Amino acid sequence: MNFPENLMYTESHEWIKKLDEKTALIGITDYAQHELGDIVFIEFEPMGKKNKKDIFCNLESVKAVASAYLPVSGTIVEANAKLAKDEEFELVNNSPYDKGWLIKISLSKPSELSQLMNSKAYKKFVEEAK
Amino acid sequence: MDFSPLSEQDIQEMLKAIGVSSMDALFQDIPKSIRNPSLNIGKGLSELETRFCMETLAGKNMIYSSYFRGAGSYNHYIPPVVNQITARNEFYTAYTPYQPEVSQGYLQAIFEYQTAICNLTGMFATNASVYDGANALCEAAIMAKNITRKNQFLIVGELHPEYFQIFKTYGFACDFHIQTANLNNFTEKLKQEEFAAVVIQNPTFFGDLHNLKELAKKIKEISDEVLVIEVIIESSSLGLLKKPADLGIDIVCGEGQPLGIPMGFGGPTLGYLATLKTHYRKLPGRIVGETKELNGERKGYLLTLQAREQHIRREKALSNICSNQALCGLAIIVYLSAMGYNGLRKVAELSAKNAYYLKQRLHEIKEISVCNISRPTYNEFLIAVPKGFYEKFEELCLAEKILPPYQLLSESLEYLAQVSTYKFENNKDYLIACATEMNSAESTVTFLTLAQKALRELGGRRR
Amino acid sequence: MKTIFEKSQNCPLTRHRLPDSALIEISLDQIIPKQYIEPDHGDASDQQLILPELSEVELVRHYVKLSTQNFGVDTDFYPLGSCTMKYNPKINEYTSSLPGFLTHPYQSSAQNQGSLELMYKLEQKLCNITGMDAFSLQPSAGAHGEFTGITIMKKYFHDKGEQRNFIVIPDSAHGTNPATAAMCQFGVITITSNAQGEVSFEELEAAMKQGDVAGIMLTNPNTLGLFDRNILKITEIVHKYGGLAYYDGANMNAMMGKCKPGDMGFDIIHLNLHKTFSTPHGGGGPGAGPVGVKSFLIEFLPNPRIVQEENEYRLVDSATNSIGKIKTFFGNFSILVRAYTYVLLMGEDGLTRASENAVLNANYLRVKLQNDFTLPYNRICQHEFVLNDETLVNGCTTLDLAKRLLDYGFHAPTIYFPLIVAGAIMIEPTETETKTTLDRFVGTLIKIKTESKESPDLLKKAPVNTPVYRLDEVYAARNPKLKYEK
Repeated sequence: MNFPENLMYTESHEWIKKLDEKTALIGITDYAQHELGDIVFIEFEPMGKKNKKDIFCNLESVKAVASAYLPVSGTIVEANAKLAKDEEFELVNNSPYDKGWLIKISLSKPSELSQLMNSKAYKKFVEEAK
Repeated sequence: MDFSPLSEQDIQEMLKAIGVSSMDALFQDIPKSIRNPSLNIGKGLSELETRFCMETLAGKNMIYSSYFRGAGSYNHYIPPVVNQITARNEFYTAYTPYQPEVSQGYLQAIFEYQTAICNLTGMFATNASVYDGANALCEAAIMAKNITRKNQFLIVGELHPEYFQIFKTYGFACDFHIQTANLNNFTEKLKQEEFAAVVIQNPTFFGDLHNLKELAKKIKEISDEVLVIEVIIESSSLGLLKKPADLGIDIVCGEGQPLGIPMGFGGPTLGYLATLKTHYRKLPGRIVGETKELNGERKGYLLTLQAREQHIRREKALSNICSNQALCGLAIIVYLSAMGYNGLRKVAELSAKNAYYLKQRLHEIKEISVCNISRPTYNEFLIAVPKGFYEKFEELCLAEKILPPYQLLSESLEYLAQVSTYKFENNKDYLIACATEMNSAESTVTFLTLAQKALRELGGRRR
Repeated sequence: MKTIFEKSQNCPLTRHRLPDSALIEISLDQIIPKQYIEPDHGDASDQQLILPELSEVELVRHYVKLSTQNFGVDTDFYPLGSCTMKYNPKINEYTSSLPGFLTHPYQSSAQNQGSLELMYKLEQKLCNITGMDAFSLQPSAGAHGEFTGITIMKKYFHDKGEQRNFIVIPDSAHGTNPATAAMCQFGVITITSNAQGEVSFEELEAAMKQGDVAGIMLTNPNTLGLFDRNILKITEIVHKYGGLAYYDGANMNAMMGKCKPGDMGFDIIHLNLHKTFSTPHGGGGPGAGPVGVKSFLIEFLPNPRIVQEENEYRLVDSATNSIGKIKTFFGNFSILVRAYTYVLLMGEDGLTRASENAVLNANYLRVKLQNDFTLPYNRICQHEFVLNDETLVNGCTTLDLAKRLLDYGFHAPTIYFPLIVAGAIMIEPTETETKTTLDRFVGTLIKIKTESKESPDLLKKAPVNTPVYRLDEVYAARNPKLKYEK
């Protein structure tokens, strides 16, 4: 299981990667995709201003559906085009931290990032959950 | 009679294996105060006595030999092959196909049914059915609410009063708000609110045929986000009319009974719900899809896109619908295959032409006027008759085993006045007449003769 | 197998089912505007295949072949937990197809007295069996019954002027329960089942105390097959805080003549006629889910009601605060005919015996399997019980076991439900099985367990004796193909 060090994590298994001062990419973790199984569909919420903990998409596998929650507040500016077009959902399973990113967000409260877990803390969190 | 094959000896052996001394011991978790109540429903009968009982009951119902009544349930010809297939034990005693490897029979049949409905409506996808046409309308409304995130609905034109009532019940439960309009005032109403969808029945409750293409166009001009939901109750009309998808309809929902299901005192029947590619993931209920074996080459069918459904989504499900009307879906695909395209088209043609004949002949009778005489109708139409006529006519028809046209209930008139441009006068009764391919020349002549006779007797009485 | 569309070949004469001429010689475009009419695709030149085109012999062979690839109760043992796959008596098929029962729903009451009498009497029988005071026979399915019942609950509080936004549901509940609550705009408070598999009393009281709870949805016996011994206290607590108790009747097959939901304290119930009352499942429908209520809720039932006045049966809108109609016409009538036939046939003695034997069969299977399989709640069960896949080895799972059972000619039990037991296998034999069948099933399950040790591939590659092998669900969901296209 993968826990890249340059990312921040949530207890609901999302990761966030700062691109610059104002924007970041968000996706779900390796642990999350593994629990969900083969992803067959992703339904994105409409773009726009959202708060931390709002649902930004629902991921469906054959046997389950799970919501993904925003780690921070901001405006969703982009959804990963490959996924939004109903294609290549396996990217989220195979490359959850890279090609399988879900949304790009413009941060409204960058200080919220400090409330998240780093790689080490998240790894511990996952191991304890098991 | 009983169906449990355990003998006394079996029971004793099994109780011993379980380690209890009596049957009672198995029910000790039930609090004593409420255990082993009397049912007061009488002792069981033999199979023969049961049969006699049921035949007596059935014998108290009138079996007509010709029908001039539709109003939501239609007398169409059902080829005997349909019943032969649906009576196959492996079909009707099966459950939902949760283990697809042993349920390919049903899964493929429903896949074929889905194909037929999509082909007839021109839509991208349909589900494996819902309970009936009214339920299909309510599920379509839930879909529209989810797609548009709005909950106002506008009914335009004459929607079957029962459908309106059921829609209102769902409206209360699921939080939709329902307004009504007729063909003259709907554009104004549409401009006043943000609607999720407009609901139009075609052919209407009175048999009128809308210019759907124009209507849909007008609606989208006012608001391109509003969905157009078409309700089709006389679905044999799909054999003749333009496909809803080509007319600008977003969701078509309808009643499958005219397509191979007997009237059966109203049920069970089947509701279908079909939509465009943009919305298909919001379809409720079961859907059969095609796939291939994991480790093989063969094609197979299974229930798919289940992550929409209640057993996975639970409180996040769009609808609670679990089962469907599978056996009725099977009846429909067998009927449609037995009739073929030409057959279904002929059903629709004969129904339309026979109704047209009846429409002209009735309008020729002085005291009877066909309200939609100058509008195109499918196989039903609305007639205005003098008060007192219907009771006489019904009595005369009964003797000839003819089921006369449907009399509009006074309770429905208030609602119908809101959605209809027809005017209802106090000194008249309103009837909906219907004809199908089943109406013979002979019975039609008798019907018209009796109508004249009823009028004469009424006139005589008035004098 | 090829779809019926692929088998099409135009042969119009073999399907000459209707006469050519109508009552009037006239062309269509004289009566319907041409722009409303679809071009005639029946022309040989038009390649669009709208409907299958084939002779009756080909049609029949196609569907007969398909039926042989389908498993029903009439094929072999079908122990699907929570579904009550009992035998469907053939007398039901006879009575439901009597011509007198196939009438137009809008025939006048005077001409439909037999049908009205049947529904009236069925309602009474169901009241007696369940301890409720009135029934609506309109709902077409269990979920439809749940919708009706919860809507009644909603209207009850609405009319009282009480704002109650939540419904309490145990974590072991069937998915339709929370889905119904959500559909009716209620929030769901999930309460956990304790170590005995019963509703956590403390959690229930805490939830009800909030004052915002309309009621509880419960099935008893529950989805673990256990009778909740605290049931009277549970319904009492719900009532104490002004809530209503709703009974999901899916598990009624254990209770006929043994205990009435009305006596358990429930205010609204639904029954599944296609489970408890022997009407066939039809491949997933049609069924019927009548809703029963206590007298104080009769005013909310769907209209019309059937009343009896001096030997005549009439339809009257007597529910003064009705939630409205929920189904066109009267409900799934031919299903009601079958259920009524069954109740006449069985009577009090037969229905009681059915429940007793259903519970006997389940407990027999339970004790015969308890040494080879883990039973998370191993005590006297009612009509069904749950085991899991812990004793399978070499990475074999519940799914593998289920698929291997298909190879032995059985239908698999319900798997992965209830959600509170990992790898759940829910077995409900029903009363219409012989001891021989049960022994055969036990033997097979134990054999499969041994196979998991000695040749696990037999499970993992199963099924191989079926018309198709395991299917690719992921492929199906990622590449939706929902109709035949050339």
